Amino acid sequence: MDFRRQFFNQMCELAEKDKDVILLTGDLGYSFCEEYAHKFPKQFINCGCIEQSMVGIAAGMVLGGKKPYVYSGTIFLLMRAYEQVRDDVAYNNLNVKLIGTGASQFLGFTHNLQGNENEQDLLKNLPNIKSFYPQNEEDLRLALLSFGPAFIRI
Amino acid sequence: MIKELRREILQASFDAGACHIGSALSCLPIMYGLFYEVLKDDVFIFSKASGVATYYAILADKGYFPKDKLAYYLKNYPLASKEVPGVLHSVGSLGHGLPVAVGLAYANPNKRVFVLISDGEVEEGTTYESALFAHQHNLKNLYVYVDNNGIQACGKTNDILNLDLALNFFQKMFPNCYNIHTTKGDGVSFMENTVEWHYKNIDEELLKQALEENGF
Repeated sequence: MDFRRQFFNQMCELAEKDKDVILLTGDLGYSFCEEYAHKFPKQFINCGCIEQSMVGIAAGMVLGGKKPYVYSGTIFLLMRAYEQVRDDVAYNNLNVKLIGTGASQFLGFTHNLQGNENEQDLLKNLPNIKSFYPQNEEDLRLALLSFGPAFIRI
Repeated sequence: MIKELRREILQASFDAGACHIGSALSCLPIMYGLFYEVLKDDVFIFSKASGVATYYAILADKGYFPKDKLAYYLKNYPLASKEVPGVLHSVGSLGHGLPVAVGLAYANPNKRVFVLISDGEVEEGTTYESALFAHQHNLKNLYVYVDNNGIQACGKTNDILNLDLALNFFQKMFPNCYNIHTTKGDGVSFMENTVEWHYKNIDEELLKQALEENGF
């Protein structure tokens, strides 16, 4: 099963059990997020294409008692919003889960034919934030349930 | 009272060798109004990191830490840091505090969330993004204050990027957005409306002059 499908299925379970869970998307997830969005309208926001602010908003939600999961393309989370990931999530040590689809060359936006970019390099020097590269359903479950800031690539 | 806070800001900036004194003094009237007249059981995010001497001076006055630690915190945490008692979220780069305040306001619709941003921060893309989100979700409990002193790091704001139209737009987009016209270096004659006091450290002689002007 596509990891994206598994992710949204597992998010349904998390949102059912814990009303503080909230899923933010940056206008991605078409054909995957609909069931979740329909079942948990109060725990779902399509933030639109505001990736930098979306990560900051998620950090603010943690301060407000929520458990935000932020779903977008890896390049949008770790490159466009890198300073928010560093300052607002990692330095401030806030329990935001960043779920990135694809790798850093997703959609070919980098126009980098050498294939030498690696999001692990972007995260390795940041404090507090964990990285997960789940290989199966159980890995994904453990990553989503981990405590503290995390990047999870699916 | 406001003069006493100004004295503490100037003295601590001298003791700590801190810069951004003009930025700190421009937001003092807004911060004074918020902390001594408006805020009750509310949340506050200080996004305008460069004016931090004012924020710390008020936190000390409110009893979060002893006043004799003010210069220590200003020297060691020269941008608003949550290592300092009373600070909820650490900021540094422009444009970070506003989205965090937006998230707080969304998460707690029954709590008022106040945020202070600078006019320089209005130029950042996250201000536009946050405005779209706050408007879409009608965040009536979010109160955005803009410390519009008209001067940014290298010159007059409106000579670099004219913000008049943008500020009108943001006042329409955020349910509560106040564009407050302030004076850079407010209350110290040689600092008022100058670019250089965005950066300069104050020396002993100028400190004496600034304090005398304020009746000390």
